Amino acid sequence: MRDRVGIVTALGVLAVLCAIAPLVGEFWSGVLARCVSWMFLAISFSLAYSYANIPSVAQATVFGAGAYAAVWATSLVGGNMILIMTAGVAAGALIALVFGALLLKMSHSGAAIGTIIFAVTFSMLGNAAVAYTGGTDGLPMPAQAFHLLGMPFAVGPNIGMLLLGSAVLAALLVAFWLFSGTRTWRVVRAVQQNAMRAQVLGYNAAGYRLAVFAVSGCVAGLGGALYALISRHVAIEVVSLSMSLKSILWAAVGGVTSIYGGPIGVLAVQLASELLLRWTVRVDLIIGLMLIAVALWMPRGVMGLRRSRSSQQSQ
Amino acid sequence: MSFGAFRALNDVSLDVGHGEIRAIIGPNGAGKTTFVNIVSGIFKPTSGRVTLEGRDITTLSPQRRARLGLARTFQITSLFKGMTVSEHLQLAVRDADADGETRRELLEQMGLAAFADREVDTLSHGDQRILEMAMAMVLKPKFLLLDEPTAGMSIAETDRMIRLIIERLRGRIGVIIIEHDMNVVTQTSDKVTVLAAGAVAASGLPQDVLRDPHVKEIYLGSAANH
Amino acid sequence: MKRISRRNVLLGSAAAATASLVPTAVTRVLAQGTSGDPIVIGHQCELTGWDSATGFWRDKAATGLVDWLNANGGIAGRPVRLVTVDTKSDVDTGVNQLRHLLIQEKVDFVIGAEISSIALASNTIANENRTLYMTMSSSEATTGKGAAVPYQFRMTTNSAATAAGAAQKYVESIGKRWATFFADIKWGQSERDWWQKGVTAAGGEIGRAIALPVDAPDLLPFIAQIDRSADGIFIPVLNALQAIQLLRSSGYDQQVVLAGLSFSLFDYRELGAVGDGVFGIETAPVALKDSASSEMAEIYKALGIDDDGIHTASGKAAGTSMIMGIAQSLGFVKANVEASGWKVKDDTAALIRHAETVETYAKGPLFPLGDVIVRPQDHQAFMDIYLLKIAGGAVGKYAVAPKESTIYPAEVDLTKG
Ligand SMILES: Nc1ncnc2c1ncn2[C@@H]1O[C@H](COP(=O)(O)OP(=O)(O)O)[C@@H](O)[C@H]1O
Ligand SMILES: [Mg+2]
Repeated sequence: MRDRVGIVTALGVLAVLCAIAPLVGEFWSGVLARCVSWMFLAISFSLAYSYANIPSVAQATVFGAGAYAAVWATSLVGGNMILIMTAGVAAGALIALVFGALLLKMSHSGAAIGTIIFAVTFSMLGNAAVAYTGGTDGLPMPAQAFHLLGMPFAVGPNIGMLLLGSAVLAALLVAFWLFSGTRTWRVVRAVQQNAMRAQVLGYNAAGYRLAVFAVSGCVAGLGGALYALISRHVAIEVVSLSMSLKSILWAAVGGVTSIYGGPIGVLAVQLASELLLRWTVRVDLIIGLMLIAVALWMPRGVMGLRRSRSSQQSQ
Repeated sequence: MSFGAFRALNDVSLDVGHGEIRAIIGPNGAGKTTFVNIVSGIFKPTSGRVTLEGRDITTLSPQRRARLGLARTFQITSLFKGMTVSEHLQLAVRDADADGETRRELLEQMGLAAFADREVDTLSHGDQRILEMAMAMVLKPKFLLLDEPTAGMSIAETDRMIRLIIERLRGRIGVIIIEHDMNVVTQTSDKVTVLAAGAVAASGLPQDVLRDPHVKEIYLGSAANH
Repeated sequence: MKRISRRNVLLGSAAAATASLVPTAVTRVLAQGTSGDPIVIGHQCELTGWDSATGFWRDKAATGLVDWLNANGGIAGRPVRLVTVDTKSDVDTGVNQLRHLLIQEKVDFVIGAEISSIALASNTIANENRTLYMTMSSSEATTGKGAAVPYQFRMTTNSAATAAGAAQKYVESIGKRWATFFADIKWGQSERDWWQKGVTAAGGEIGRAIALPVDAPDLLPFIAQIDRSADGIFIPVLNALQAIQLLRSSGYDQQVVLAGLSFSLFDYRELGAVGDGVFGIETAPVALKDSASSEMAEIYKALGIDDDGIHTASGKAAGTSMIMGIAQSLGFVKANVEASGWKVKDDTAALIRHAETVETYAKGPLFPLGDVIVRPQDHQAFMDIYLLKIAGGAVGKYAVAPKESTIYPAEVDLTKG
């Protein structure tokens, strides 16, 4: 079941970002570029939560794995951005497969706690493995001549990376949209709603959930690689529990049951914090209140708004 | 079968032949659904074996059993929100059947054709239960487990279900039907097994078993409790 | 130095810090004796978040000393405008805030963050923007290989320098045999390594260094492994208070030395009775009598700190190493702007070339404790290191390690190319 309104909204948001980037200047282009990398993280949470039935509080760990993999890949193979992004995807998939295989052995609430334990453990490991992660200093992206499809590319918080990130994300969303009309996706939704029911119809529910979780890992890993290319420095905070919580906030604001809500959620929360920072040091408090309001009056996030208006079922 | 220290089923042995319809009756909490769950692979029995056509399937996952031709329905309607009737049947056939003809025919026969493109949430309770049946039947299983298929149905709907079972299942495949409605039992079943407190209390031809005073006591005694 | 939360130690001071937060952008131009366009200095500061205890002092120092500058002729006769932004102790926010300073506020100079991950992620960006970045990080890696950049100078000390200087002094006065009990994270590991080097160079020896995993639920099993025959124990750990308590209750009566700049992280009085006899390593003493410097007295006055080193408004013991770092960073900017004839931001490259020829910054209002030397190769400053000791509930000067003893080899040479 394809959600036309969702995909159009998400692509529209990305198109607007790219269109306004030259007008808003260097600073905001950089802010938006980083936001786009986080949209992958928000989407990966929605995928894991709503379609793999894994309430993952460890998505930032997967995102961070992609980011570190991007830095390692750069030191190993140089500035080929396709390879760097591939490394991020592979790292994300790998971590997600390992996590997923363990999480599927747990109950729903057990899995939520399990992901918290993963997030905290990996944060500690990252802190201790100074040789690989730079520990608390973080790892700088090696200075390289970066290139994309043979063309030189300036990485960093700039408009080029904003366009690249948006293009990759748009392609991903369109691919997802196409896929959401297939029989396979119908099975995913069936498994998500009632795994036992799907099993007695002959479907390997655990296999589907693991596959979806691995895909969510690929998405997070890709976002992490883009983040590393934009920030050019990966700190251990990227894999922290609080980063994962942020991803949940973004997904919640956008509407956690729709992967098209991620972009809106990231923009709403991050732009609000960025603007509030100019006026007050109590940003987190205000964002926190905002989120309580969302939870109370907009439980399905921005993407849920239209659903209550039209009766259309659209995930 | 034990849940912790609680023995839900104790030494229950049932042999249902090909083409036979076996009813299982018994008061609430007797362990009927637990039995269906064990046969369909949802629960692993603490001890004992499940065989399908002579093959031991005790260790197989529910999906493997389904693929071997073991289908079931649920006591509580378990349909997928937001999906249409025909999407449900597509799900049920997996990849085995690309041809929509069979499905359309089945919908006709089961009186669901008019609702093919409706989301299941908009169907009446009776039609939802019929759809559950259709999903279980569309792949022509070798064995079918029906857990209270007429639960919550009106008299007319129940009659429709009885006809369905007689016309489309009787003599074709092995069926276990859990029922409370004695009318359904006598009309559809070849044999009846009575479960009480996790054990077989009686077994035999419907007319014999239902006349058994001991069974009446178990049944009515418990039914009077609620 | 500290890079992860030490909530247990910080709770009290963090609450006080939040209560006295200043508005994010501080604009105070006292045009007394100054004229022309203001020179704009951005301050990327940990006003909130886990590092706000030290951010409190950097913010107080920057605000107070910019006011003082404006009241005393400004920089090159021009007024100074300070724009402070909050990193929230978070790397993404910190970097965004730096970009805000550079691109939107178009500041002339930046005083950078103290958290090493923020500082490391930021210096590349400032360098690209050709803006002088006075880093406040005390991770030696900041001026090391792969991180040092031409537009960055560090006028505060770092882990390598404090350990090198202090180790020599402590080996002389406490003894040759040392034990190290360190947090097994980047900071603890580098403190361990530099301490090892310093002690060995001074003719001492270190038995086994005991690593404390970050996730250790209980310190005791690790403490029990510490060599009992050691003369002194060096403890770069995050939960110093708990470590000292356990050391004492387990019968270790050795001298205990905290890692560099610990007294800027928490108020030494929080250690209470077990703090007695504990050593710290700072770039300045706390009580005015220990510095015997009229310039330091002037700074204390400007910042509202009494002679005992207590900040009157907040009641906290002054984080003097933070204050020194800010003062010397401002002093560096002032000296080089004035000496290189800097007028606009495009002149910064020339200012840096000039600064690389300046070896010594003589004692003065913004270098209150004596000459500071700056190594042109990696833009790292070296200054006297104060070894402090808690005695009778107050922290006093124990010894001074001269700046020469803190010098360690440079990893890069920015003057080439
Ligand atoms: N998953 C379970 N965990 C613990 N006890 C269960 C579980 N499922 C069923 N039971 C218990 O087993 C007994 C039989 O239940 P069930 O098979 O559902 O009865 P019936 O279908 O005959 O009404 C009941 O006492 C029920 O409470
Ligand atoms: Mg039942």
